[in-house]
Amino acid sequence: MEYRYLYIDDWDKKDIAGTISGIEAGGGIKIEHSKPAGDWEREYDRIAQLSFQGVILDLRLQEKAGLDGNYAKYSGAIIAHAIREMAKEKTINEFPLVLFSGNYNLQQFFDKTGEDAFDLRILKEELNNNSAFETLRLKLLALARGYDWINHLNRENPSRAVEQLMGFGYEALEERFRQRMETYINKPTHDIAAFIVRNLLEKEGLLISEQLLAARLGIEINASNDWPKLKLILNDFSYKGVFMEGWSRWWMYNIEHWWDEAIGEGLRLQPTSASKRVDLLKGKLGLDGLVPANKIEKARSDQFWIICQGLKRPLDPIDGLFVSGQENAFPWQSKQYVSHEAAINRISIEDWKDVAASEKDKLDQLKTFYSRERIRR
Amino acid sequence: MNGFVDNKKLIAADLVKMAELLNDCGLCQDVGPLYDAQGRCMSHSTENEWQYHFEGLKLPIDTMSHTKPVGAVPFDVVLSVELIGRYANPADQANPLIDLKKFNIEVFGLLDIEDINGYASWHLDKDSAGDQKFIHPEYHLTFGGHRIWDKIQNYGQVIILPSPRIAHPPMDAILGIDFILKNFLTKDKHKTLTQNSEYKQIIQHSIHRLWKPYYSFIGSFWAGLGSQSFSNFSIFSIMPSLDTDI
Repeated sequence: MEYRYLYIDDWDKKDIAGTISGIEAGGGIKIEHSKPAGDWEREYDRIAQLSFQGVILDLRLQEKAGLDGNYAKYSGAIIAHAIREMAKEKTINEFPLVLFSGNYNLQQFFDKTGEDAFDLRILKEELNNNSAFETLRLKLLALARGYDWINHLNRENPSRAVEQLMGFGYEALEERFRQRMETYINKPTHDIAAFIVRNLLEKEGLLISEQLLAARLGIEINASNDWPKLKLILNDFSYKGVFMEGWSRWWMYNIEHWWDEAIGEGLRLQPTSASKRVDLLKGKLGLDGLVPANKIEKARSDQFWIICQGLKRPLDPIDGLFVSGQENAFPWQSKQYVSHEAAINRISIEDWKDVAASEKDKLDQLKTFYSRERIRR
Repeated sequence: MNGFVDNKKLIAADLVKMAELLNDCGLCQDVGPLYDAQGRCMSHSTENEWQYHFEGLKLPIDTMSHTKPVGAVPFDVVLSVELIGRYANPADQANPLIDLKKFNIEVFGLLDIEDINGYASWHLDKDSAGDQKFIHPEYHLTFGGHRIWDKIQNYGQVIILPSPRIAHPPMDAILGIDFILKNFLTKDKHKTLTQNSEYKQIIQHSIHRLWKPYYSFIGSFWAGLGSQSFSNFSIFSIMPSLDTDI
């Protein structure tokens, strides 16, 4: 089945044709471009009659003339809000909304309160290679299919509904998460979708990404030829709930259980060194092409458990500094750290912004120690 | 404990409560390990025994005078625990732990000499009289963790021995956290938390579950067993020096 997205952008079709065909290339998604109606009343009516499975909106619609020759006086964010309101009032069906924008416009013109209306935000600058197109295509597919699924979900029994959405046994789900998820079952679809995407799929925690999976198994993906084979073995533990097509994730609960039962020989995963983890995996699974990950410079431990937000490489939290701004994290979400090396040298600082206030003193001490060491050498 | 039958839910709830209290007072940034422990407690415990494990709960540490070498700066104290225990049972003050697989307290910090990585560790251990070459109490605290040689390359002038093994009552995660807060933070830093009534209540639960049998049993050496049952305990394991039968 093909999912159709309407793409409202004040740019001319010829300017975005390349982007559209890039996204459509893998199949499953059809994107139809339209300029904004220009007049808000007409735009509103047009939306009320939409028969698409999703809408992609450019942020700034005011730069070029719309369909009726007028310049729209509304932004993509305004359309998004209108759509969500109409959906809540049941004037229209629920479908995913994707924001498409250049970084400049996002920084200058996007009010943060508008964030909630969108399921996904894509920066135009990031769509510059086939892999980026494919990643986006899969997410668009996942969102459209997932919204459909949620729209048709039987919501009478919240715990049953949560189980179906997650594709995972209710009892095994983390208690606070499932309680929270249950409170969402009778909310509008877009609220459920936002909760799942933002708090479960986009954050490491109950579900982990491929990168974190490799780190926790102590593996260097790029150097390990048998990584795809290992992933295949772990396929039973991958996320098969709503939006699965767009986000490759694994249930940490299952990975840990599998390690304890089949691999660890009595050694728990976290306190075991990366080299030992890989030795055990190679021995038990007969996979020779697995290579242990290396420590980041200045890190002392190879009991990797997290990813350094600066260097994007495996790290033991003991070697990390707590990143600021995590006060509102849910208890089932993993916390973020930055390695000493990345913190001292401000590597990729735009990704982590700052260390927590309680870590500043430590960072200062580290800077002093390491600069003294340089002088000593 | 106020008429409740001890069960895994109570234990798991205390772990989560401790996590919330630590997080709320700002003393611990990442209480994830305690949530992990709670999940494992609920999935792995049975009707007859409770268990959980977690790795790397980071707590703050205050600098203190007499730290050596001069200039060393401790950063964090880290607790890792893995244990299996018996539920509290008024009819039988049994030995509260079945297996204490891991109870490590590690200090990570900076040195001021050749090596930037400073480290210290203690561990609480449980073993019985039968396994011992050097006689020591069943529950004991030792300086030096498991495989301390993996973490330290340079010992300065210090000789680290596995002895002495000093008697200490059994601890679980809750009592371990209390031990760390009180030993490694000034009273001013921890008093808001440690004087909080919810905190005190959780500590009470663990004291009742782990210390009451231990100390009652030791006390019974002088007071006599009476009709109280103390299964899985042997006075000569708990306190070998009491083995004074002539």
